Amino acid sequence: MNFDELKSEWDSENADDVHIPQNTNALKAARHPLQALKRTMKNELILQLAGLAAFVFLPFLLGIDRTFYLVYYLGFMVILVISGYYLIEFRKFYRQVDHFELATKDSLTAIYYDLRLNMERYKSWGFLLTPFGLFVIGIFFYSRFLRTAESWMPTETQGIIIFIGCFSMLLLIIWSINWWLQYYYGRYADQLKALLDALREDR
Amino acid sequence: MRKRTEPVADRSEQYFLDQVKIHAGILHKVARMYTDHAADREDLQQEILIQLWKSYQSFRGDSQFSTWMYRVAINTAITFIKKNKFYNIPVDAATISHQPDEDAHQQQARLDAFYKAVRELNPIERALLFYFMEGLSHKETGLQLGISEVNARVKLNRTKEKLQTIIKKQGYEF
Repeated sequence: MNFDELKSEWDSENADDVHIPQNTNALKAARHPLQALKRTMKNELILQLAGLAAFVFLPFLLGIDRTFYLVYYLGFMVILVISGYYLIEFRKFYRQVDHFELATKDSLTAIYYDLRLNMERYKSWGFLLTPFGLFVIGIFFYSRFLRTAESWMPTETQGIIIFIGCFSMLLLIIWSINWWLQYYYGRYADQLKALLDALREDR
Repeated sequence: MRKRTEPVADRSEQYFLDQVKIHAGILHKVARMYTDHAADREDLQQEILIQLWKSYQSFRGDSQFSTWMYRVAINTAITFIKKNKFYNIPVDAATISHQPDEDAHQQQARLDAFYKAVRELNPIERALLFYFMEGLSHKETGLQLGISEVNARVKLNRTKEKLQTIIKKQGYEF
């Protein structure tokens, strides 16, 4: 294969198909997959934030007994403070520039580890919210029992069923969060890892 | 001899667009190497332009504009992985133009065959070949990719062998 001939043809190739606009306002919004991933993550977080805001009114909407209000809002406050930390970190992630001007290996490393870090943050935030969700469900059902009876104590069998039910639900939620993250973000991260592996020193 | 770098005295939009026009060939070639359809090519060119403009404000002029543009263009193309798109697209030899009696057409056919073969390589191999075709040394290629000069040389040699095998398989020899 004669690369010298090919190089001279390469050098004389024209670039008529390149459309450079008169000004940068004409450039469309970025459609890079990484930007798309960040937008998706941002939209999901906005929805989750809206969901969290709804928790403020949940005791009234679900008719939870007033005796539980204090413990409910104390728990909610803890969740809110922790969520605030995560949302600040996520905001940094989707606002940061992607460093395409770095050497390829450095650029890929920065993008890959940022993405993985934020996927893990997203996962741990989901895991933190889950027990609170189960807690809300628990006090909702207990409130209803209190309305129908003076007090209610589950039998041993009922206790085991409730325990197994909650444990299974917890596992299902954890599995769902993992699956969701891997399906929407993990595949791109895996492809970035493959590119980094291709740059490794050959031995 | 140390290369003189262009001063970034002018950060205006017009200067940026003028420089990109001068080096438009980079956009054309990177897009041809990393995409196989005209529509995708245009998408990628647009995306590279957007990333160039975004990165431009932090460009300090410590390298030539073209060197900086290479990096942004290649990094954008490498990470422009679309869902359900595979890089190893089998090439049908019949789609490569063969008009052996005319020099210009023969040259174009050779270049077309080259691009089609390149698109069977992985994104890093394409980047190595791109820098080679642009005339960068192994050291310069290593700096662009963030790998050692030795690693760049070894990988480039392997890539060239692989490319020759692909071109032969396509039924085209030059």
